[in-house]
Amino acid sequence: MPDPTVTVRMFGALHTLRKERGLSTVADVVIPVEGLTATDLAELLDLPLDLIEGVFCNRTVYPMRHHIAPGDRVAFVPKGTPGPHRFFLGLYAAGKEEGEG
Amino acid sequence: MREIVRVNMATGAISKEPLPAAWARYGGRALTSALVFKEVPADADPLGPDNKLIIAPGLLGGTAAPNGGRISIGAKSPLTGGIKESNSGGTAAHALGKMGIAAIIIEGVPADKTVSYVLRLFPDGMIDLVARHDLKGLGTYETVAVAKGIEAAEHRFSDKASFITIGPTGEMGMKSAGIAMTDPHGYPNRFAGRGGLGAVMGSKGLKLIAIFEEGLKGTEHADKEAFTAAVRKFANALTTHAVTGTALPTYGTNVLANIINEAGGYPTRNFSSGQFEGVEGISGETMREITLERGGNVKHGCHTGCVIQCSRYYVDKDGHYMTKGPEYESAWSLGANCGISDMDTVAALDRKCGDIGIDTIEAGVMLGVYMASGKIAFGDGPAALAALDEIGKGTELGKILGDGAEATGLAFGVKNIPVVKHQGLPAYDPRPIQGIGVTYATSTMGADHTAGYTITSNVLAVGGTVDPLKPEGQAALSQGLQIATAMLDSLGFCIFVAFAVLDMPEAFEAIHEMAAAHTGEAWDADALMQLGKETLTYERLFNEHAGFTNADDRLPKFFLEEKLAPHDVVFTVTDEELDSVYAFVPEVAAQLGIK
Ligand code: SF4
Repeated sequence: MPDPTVTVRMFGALHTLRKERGLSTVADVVIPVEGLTATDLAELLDLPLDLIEGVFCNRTVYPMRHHIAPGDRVAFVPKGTPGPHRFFLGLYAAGKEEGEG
Repeated sequence: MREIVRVNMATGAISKEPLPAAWARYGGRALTSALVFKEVPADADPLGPDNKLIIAPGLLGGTAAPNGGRISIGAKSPLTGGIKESNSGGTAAHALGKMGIAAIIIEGVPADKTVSYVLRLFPDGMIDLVARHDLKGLGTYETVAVAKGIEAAEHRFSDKASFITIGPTGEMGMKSAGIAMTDPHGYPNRFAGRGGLGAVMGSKGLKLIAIFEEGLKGTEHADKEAFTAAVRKFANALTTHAVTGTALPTYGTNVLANIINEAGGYPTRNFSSGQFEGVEGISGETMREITLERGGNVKHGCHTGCVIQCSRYYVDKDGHYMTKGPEYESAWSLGANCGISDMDTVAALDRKCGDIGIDTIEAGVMLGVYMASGKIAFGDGPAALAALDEIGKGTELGKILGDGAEATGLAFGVKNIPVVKHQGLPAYDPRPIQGIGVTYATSTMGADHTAGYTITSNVLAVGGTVDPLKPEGQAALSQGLQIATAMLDSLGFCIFVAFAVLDMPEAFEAIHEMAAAHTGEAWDADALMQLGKETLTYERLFNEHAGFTNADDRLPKFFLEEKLAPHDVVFTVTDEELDSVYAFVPEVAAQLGIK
């Protein structure tokens, strides 16, 4: 049986939000064995979806409909990442796809 | 009619001439590159009499165009041996723009090398060149302080003055020397850092340029009403977009540290890993917390008219100004690339680089290489500071280190030297972020991160589909980015406007509407992109004449052979694809009638 936790990191505005709530910016979250979407995971952590542009899952960027499985390394990226990385990393595309999936 | 100011350092002669009509659309980078192409022999010694230092505000310099106050400085680079344009914030661009100056050309070298010269531009149009013995060897901060004192004594100084200066490294001709610009508070903390332009200024005997703008009015517009409307439209877009309206002003560019680290593309300890365990300590989020705790400034513009305001000041434990809040590239180069995870140490290194006048990116890449040689240890902040001290003093060791990463790597037998066209790679490893590798490899500037940002719709279509770990589509994306960046650099826009323009078509429209209303000429989206292409064409041809071939558009071998953790990938974009990036050059060269 795989480890039912995922490690979640939160950056930028989400980082600040967690600190304001007196919480760590890296969280170990127990998730269902069958996994869940990044959107569901963000809701579980009470993160405002309208602030999130995309999600890293095991160091690759995906839109928020991406399926997260137990054992994954996850990081939520808020809207507002500057630089050409918005394109090169696929963040721009992830943000655009949000809501479609 | 904008004018060109020509200053001959051999004779002391200063003259003015009208900007050629064919270049009426050029400003900033387009103008520095066109002038270098036309006036500097490609085989010139970069520190000799035939090289010229060109300083040009963007086309919209001196106007109220939001974020339109960047200044471009160009020359043949002593570091790369090719053409160089490096641009910066600070207050000088608007001051020159208001004076109607399209460019200053500094040419020749003075016979007496013991004198430092100061070029002064006054609001009434008078320009003079004065010799000073008291500025020689001073750091950038002290130079500006002394200059302010002298000018105040002569009743010339007011707070409305801009200074452009070099540190001792520029005077000593070191290849990593940059040129500092003062910000609205008078700190010389904005840099045209890359490519050794500070050494070119030093070779001319020019220590300082002082621009006095008291009483100057903004430049005239062909259609004032239309210009004001376009400015409003543009400012509205910038202040409402998520990147430019919220994220950049809150965290600055260093908000990228955690993100690039998470992507596995954060070069660590001389590009030997793509993730840094100490990233939290040098991240934008931490920098903001420390600065707020100590009562430092966390949001201001680097020039008047900036509505994004991504700048901040880093202060010491007692709340005293140390340096500009290190940008993402500086925090990376002096932090992760050296295995240093303490923000105060990074800020001390950043301040030292600023004071002795060297590029923080080249300095950090050099330190990473020096650490890889085993001469000092990764993570050793005091040793890194001592190395920078050697550079500032110009010791034997300092002269090697001050010539940058490649010179240091060759001197100390380091195998992996992360440079392209002899210039250190900036803050993204090209293996897991292949697109930026294409830009590094092919940029006319040498490895340069700012050579490739974007806005156009054709770029977006590509940008939406590329996989960062795969080669497909990267060359086309990089080409679009490089053209768009050259265009923004020529108009004088800060690169960060691109993110709003990207998502908001009205912001892109506002750019050509501002250009049209200001100049009275027809501008549209195609004209903007043509400006970018023409700029790159001058640069590419100059480099060809200087002996560069496709073989120079390559990354160092280790990026193709050594896998990078955690993605365990190498750079796989093919040579054919790299060579396709500049396919448009022959056609544009024919249009321009140049070879
Ligand atoms: S956004 Fe930052 S770099 Fe751009 S003009 Fe404003 S302060 Fe300068």
